[in-house]
Amino acid sequence: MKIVILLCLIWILPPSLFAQKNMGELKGVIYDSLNNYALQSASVSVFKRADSSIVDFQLSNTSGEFDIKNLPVKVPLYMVITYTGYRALIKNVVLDSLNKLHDFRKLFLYPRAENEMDEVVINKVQPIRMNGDTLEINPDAFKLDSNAVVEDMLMRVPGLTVWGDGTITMNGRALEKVYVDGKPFFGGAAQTATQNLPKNAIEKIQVYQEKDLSKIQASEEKPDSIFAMNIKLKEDKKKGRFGKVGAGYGTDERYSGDGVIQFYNKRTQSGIAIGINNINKEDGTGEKAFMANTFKSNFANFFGGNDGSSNGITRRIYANAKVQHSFSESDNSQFYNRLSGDYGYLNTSRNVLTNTTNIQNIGDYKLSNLTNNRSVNNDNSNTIKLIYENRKQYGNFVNLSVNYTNQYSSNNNVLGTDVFRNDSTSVSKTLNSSSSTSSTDNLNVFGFIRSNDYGQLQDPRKNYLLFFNGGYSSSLNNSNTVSRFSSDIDTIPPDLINRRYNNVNKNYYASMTFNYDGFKNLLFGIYNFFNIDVSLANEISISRNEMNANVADLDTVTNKFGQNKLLTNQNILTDFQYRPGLNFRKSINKSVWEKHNYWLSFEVGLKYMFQNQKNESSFLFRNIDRTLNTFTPAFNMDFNYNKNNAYRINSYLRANVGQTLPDIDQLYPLVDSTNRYNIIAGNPDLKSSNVKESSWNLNINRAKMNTKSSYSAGIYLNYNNTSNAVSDNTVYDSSGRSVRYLVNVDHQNTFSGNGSIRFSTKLNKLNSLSFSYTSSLSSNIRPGFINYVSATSKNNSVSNTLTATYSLTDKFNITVGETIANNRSEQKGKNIITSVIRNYSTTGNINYFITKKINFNTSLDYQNNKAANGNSIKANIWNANAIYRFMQQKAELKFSAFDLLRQNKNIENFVMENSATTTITNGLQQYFMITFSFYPRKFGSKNGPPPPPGL
Amino acid sequence: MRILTWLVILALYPTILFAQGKALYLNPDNAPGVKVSVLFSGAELIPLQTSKASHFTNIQDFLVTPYLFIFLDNTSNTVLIFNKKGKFLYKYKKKKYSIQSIQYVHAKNALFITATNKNYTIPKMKAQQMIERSPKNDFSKYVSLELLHLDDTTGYRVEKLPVPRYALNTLYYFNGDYLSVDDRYNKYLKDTVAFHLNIIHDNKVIKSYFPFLNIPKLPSFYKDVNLAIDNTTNDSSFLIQKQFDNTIYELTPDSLYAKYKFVFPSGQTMAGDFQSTLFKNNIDLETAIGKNNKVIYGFYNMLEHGRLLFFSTITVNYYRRNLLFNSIDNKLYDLGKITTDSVLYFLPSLIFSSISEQDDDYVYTRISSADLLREKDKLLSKNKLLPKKIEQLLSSLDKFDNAIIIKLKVKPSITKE
Repeated sequence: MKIVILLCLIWILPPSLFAQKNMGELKGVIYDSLNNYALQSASVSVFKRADSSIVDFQLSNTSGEFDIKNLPVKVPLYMVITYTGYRALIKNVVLDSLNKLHDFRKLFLYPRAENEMDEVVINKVQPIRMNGDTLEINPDAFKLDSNAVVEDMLMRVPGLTVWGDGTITMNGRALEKVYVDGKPFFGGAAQTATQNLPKNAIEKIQVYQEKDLSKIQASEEKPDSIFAMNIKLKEDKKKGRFGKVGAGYGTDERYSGDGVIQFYNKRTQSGIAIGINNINKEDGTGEKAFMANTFKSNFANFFGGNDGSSNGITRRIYANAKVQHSFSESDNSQFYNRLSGDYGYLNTSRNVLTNTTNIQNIGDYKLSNLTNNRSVNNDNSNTIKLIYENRKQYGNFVNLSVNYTNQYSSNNNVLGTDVFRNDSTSVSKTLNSSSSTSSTDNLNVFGFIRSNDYGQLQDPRKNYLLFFNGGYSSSLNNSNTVSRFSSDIDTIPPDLINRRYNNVNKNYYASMTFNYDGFKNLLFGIYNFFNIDVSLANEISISRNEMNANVADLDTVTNKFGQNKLLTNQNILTDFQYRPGLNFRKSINKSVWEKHNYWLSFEVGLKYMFQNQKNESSFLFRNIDRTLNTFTPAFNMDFNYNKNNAYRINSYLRANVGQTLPDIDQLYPLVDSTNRYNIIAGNPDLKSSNVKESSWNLNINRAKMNTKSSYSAGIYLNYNNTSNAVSDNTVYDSSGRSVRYLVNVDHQNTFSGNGSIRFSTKLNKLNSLSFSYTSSLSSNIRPGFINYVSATSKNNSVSNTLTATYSLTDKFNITVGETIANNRSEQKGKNIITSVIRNYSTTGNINYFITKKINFNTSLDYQNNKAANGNSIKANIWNANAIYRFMQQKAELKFSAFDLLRQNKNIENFVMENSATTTITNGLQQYFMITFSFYPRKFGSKNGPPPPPGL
Repeated sequence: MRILTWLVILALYPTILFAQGKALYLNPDNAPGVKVSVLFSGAELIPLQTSKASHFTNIQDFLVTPYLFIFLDNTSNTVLIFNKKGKFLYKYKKKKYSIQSIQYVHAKNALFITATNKNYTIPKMKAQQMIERSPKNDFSKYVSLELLHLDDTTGYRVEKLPVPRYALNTLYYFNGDYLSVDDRYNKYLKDTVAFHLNIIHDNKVIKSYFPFLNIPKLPSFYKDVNLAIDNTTNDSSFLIQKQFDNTIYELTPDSLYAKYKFVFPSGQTMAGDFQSTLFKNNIDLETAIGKNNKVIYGFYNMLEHGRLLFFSTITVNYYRRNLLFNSIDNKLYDLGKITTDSVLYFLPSLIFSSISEQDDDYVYTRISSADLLREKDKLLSKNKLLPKKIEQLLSSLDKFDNAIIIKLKVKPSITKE
């Protein structure tokens, strides 16, 4: 099947991919006519005579030479050579199959007379130029559709790659910051700017390196640099509005509607987004609606997406508002003083039906749990976020965030469970039905103030970092559960519980970290102390949690609810932690001019933790007061290596040791008998766990300028070892119920890692090919017991994904991907029991611009899930969209089809410890939908551009 | 808000003598290039001997004396001395101190070396406090000032010099005294007017130049004011240029005068009232500076050779340009646009980016071995007759070898009136 899909995909590749032969070439050397010297970095551009569209461009090299390849033959062309201070030179040329290479040899440019003012014309045709270390892209030089946006132009710039997920890379390195006039644009996501702002509103685009100021530490000598892009708007386009209004209706009563409108001016950006849908669309709703509903989002490269294939059926209504105001009107992204605010409302109503088969291996026999769950859930929330950011000097920051959320939800749930022994003998049945409502309020304030005399100009004794976090949350839960249990093995009568809960929870917390970075200078003055930075660290945190649980059971005799004395309780948990310590840091760097440079830094944190935890409960046995005093050292290492014009390596290592106390519900749990099959029995003798954690990261990027191809690779590894970990002895009774007796075990290990490789190459100006490979693995070992017999479970999972994308700018793009995921679980008890599940997923997406107005895209997702029992379930999910744009692309009609083959099944397999589980959940079924969208857009003021001076 | 302008200060402090010539109206953007053979009559490649002792990693400074080539390697913290044939003679390494700068003193045929004690980091404000308030007169604990005598018959004798308090600033050896550079607002000064340049004799300021208002919120409160100071072939004069001021001044023991008063187009020049504007904060200052990123921030590598002036400019956004001004016909050339030819064996124009040294007859630049090797094929193919010495050099060169010095003979005809 997979081969058939691949063959199909290759068959429909447009012929242009294979039509790369038979291309022409123009070359020559540019000279100054007066002094007869070669002109370097002159701009040479080739245009089609028919429509003046740009074919290719180049800057002449240091000897004044240019050589432009892959030009179309038998097409009338003209070449424009420009150079500041000289008259432009224009040459007409037609290349044919006999004369594929045309060498102009020496071309002389004539200096312009003082009064000749054709500078403007010249500037309009220079597409790119290096200005110092900044690459400047000139939008006027790219003759594109009047509706073209910034992204359409970026795809035509050599060295720049626009990836499927919206990431932009420059010679292989990600452009991590995208600014508009030095400010983040509606939260800073690249596509909000690149897919909305029209090319015609842009004066120029600058791509440059800036210091990554988020990484500046106490006295770090060499902060890493990152690539940034600044989109400079034309003076008369510094205010504008844009957005989208769209509504769609389809078969099976499916509907979807989104409305987004955004405004900006020199200092303020604001936007409103609203929407409703019942097609399980979560991506691109709420706050993300601003990013997802760009002018080009439906009409650009298409890379598939699994919208709609998630579990259950959800209706979502959202409304969001966003404001960002800069108090200083600065074009400089390094310094700022601004306030941003966000408001969000979300209502979700979800209907989920799940069938689960769970098989547990218990020594001599197997237990199969078949469950059937139906839940209806309605959730309303309001969120307010405020962020104030201020940075006036390199090392001085003030950041303050306030978040408030209020949420109300109701839930109805019916869960039926049948338990079988060895697949054949029915042992017990349970039916639980519950309904609940809950309301929560959550207020959180956090921020940091940092003063760091980075340049050693003022007084380093005043260096500090203060971080604070505090808040309050309260919740009220009311629920009612009716639970019926009957055993087919034991002779006990069926058990019915009708229980009501009323829980009130209040939580107060505050924490503060104060690092005094001027400690070394305070101790030693101007003495360097072997260049080791010493910082005094203090972390303090206090929390108090008040819980009041009222539980009542229905007395079936009196038919009245009476208090459940085992579960009704009041509980107050207070926790205090103080961690004083010292941080030592030393960094070494060396750079050899034009060859390489490296930077290595070590940091050792020596901290001691004092913890006091007090639990006050209406149950005497839960009243505890305990302290934990422990040494918590940490070690960090950072390494950067940069080989000039070749590659760069970033790597870090983190290691730390800590202890965690077992929580009160592990020591003295309150057991709710409605939880039929999984009861936790506490253990008051549990000791605190010792956790040792280390992680390592390595990234390599190609850093070679002016190459067609770029690559990057990264690897991340994490290792965790816990001694005195909390594990359990699970004891099963004849009805299939289990009791988990918690115990301390040693050698609980987790190892995980992931790696990725990206490669992209431009075959020529418009054709590009890219590959990405990602791999992740995790392995954990968890010792425990089943029915008092030692049983260590090992779980290994590996996933590999390879994706290839071919893109012909503005015409066609195709992505083919394959993911193979393998999950293996081994239970080593009396016997060794191994379960393996495997998921294969083959995806293919095609996007075809039939004309400039019509776009067709389709995605096919082939899934093959092999469960632990060897059963294989296959499904093909085929979706397709046809989009038509009209009214200067401002209006859009979209026809979409979901699950054309009617095979959408939400099947998931898991293996964990001694169990293997398969779940099947309801989901959207085939539907067809027609959507109309309108994109209101206006850039610049009503009066148009200001008149040129002097008129 | 505008405050007192420079005119007021200049009226109050008539220490600057304006013996200036007429203004030179030029546009560096439009400066033409030129063929190598128009400027130079010949070139010689001098490879520097590479051995374990003489190998250098990172050239911070390069000096030419009448008989020697001298390098400051800031990675290995050494001074390396070669003769003019490229033979390695001597390596000077200073323990515990990191060498900041080297300067050739003609009168003593010695190298003036400033170095700071590695065990101390003195923040600028602390340095200002120590200079103004410290009761001590000897700061040799923090800074070392030395003369390394270059006459090899004396075995490269080191002469320790007294260290005045002002040595915590950047210091130059000037006609037996020191020239100290103060590039920032100084809260420890009582006076409202301070000076960027002070001539120090026995821990006392004897003369001051380049006055500025020493009050908060001016540009000098937020950022260092950059001053480019370059030696001439004469011990008692410097070429000086101050940031955003496109004039090159000459400082002599008695006076300071504007020697080359360049006037560049307004797009490349900072607005006149910038230095006297009070800025609310750093953001506003950065915004004002970044408003036009083509503005020339400062000059460097200023070198007067006969009637020619070699200099480089750097703009606000770090764009560098290497220029040549011929004072005979007042013409400005862009060295980045030089077209190489057989006079220079078709060496790449890249080499003109660092003409920073001279002696009586030649100007000097350099090329790294890796760069020269990259040009090897081109050199062999374009030059029909390459001198044997160069052919040998190309065949034996390794990319990690020391740099190659290029000695350029300026055509006498272009420096003659």
